[in-house]
Amino acid sequence: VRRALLAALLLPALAGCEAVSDLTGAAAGLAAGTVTSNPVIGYGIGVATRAATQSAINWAQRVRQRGEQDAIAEVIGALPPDEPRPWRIAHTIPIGDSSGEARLVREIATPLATCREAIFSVEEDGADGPRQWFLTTACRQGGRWKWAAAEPAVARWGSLH
Amino acid sequence: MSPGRSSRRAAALLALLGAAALPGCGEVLSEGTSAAAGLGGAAIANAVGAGATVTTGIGLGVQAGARAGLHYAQRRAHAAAQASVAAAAGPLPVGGVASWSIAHALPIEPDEHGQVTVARLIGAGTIDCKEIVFSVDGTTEADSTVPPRAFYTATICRDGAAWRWASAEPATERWGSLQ
Repeated sequence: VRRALLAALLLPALAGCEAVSDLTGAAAGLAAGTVTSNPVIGYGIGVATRAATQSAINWAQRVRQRGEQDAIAEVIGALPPDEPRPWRIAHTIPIGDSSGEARLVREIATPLATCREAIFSVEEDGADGPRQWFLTTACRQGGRWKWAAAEPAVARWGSLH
Repeated sequence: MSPGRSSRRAAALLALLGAAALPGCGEVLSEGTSAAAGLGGAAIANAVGAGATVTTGIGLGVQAGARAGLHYAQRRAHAAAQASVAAAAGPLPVGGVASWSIAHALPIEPDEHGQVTVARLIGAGTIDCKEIVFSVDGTTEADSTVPPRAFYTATICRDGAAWRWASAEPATERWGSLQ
């Protein structure tokens, strides 16, 4: 059981996960087909499994991404001006662990919320790639800092789907 | 169109709306739409007396079309939400606060409301833009990771009399889990 769970958890780390859910759905469809011998029922079960698998994979990926965003936002919230601070994320499953540093660009004080703009670098553990820099924002929500960069304009996200 | 077919279509629409009303069910909606399209495609193929291979081909083609249609509907709903925030923030001065809300005609996305304020003006020649901070209050999603009041930042630019969302997409290296 533990090995199966680990395998399921490792799936999100694979690139191009659409294919993974397709395979899982197809496998479930085949399995159901052998049980019911009715292709329509088998097809229905396959589609339902595909939806559930896709949902689980998307959820797992979001949890991982949120973990990294929270780690960076937490450091951004504590940044002193003119002094870089390191950040790192160690996932429960040690794949894709990354780290880098963050620097405060400016404070955004508004009547609604206190936000900060910061640049951060990302280096994946064990990878010898060049250090890449990104710009983002974080806002204080309740007692903690959360990633605040909103989604792109709808006209610009065509290929995100 | 026969009465049987129209009632079946109504039932399919109801099922689609029922799936859409569930929170966080984009995947079910997506797969359900494709599946319904696939079954519909199979019915078409049966009607024209096509073989199994042809039926599969028709099913896949119709599925792809239905998925594109759903994405189109989701983008439209989300564009309306962005337009609502941008319209509320457009006339505001720096530091001004206004309310925004969106109620969708089709329950593909949750109805949302909150406040918006302008953090700074960004001018580039004759182009007017604003950096905004907006809140999404009391999200209805039963997701404990979403705080009761979430804040986000975005940019809007003026296009004639209207203000439009101007934030560009994330760097391709950063959008892994968006797909």
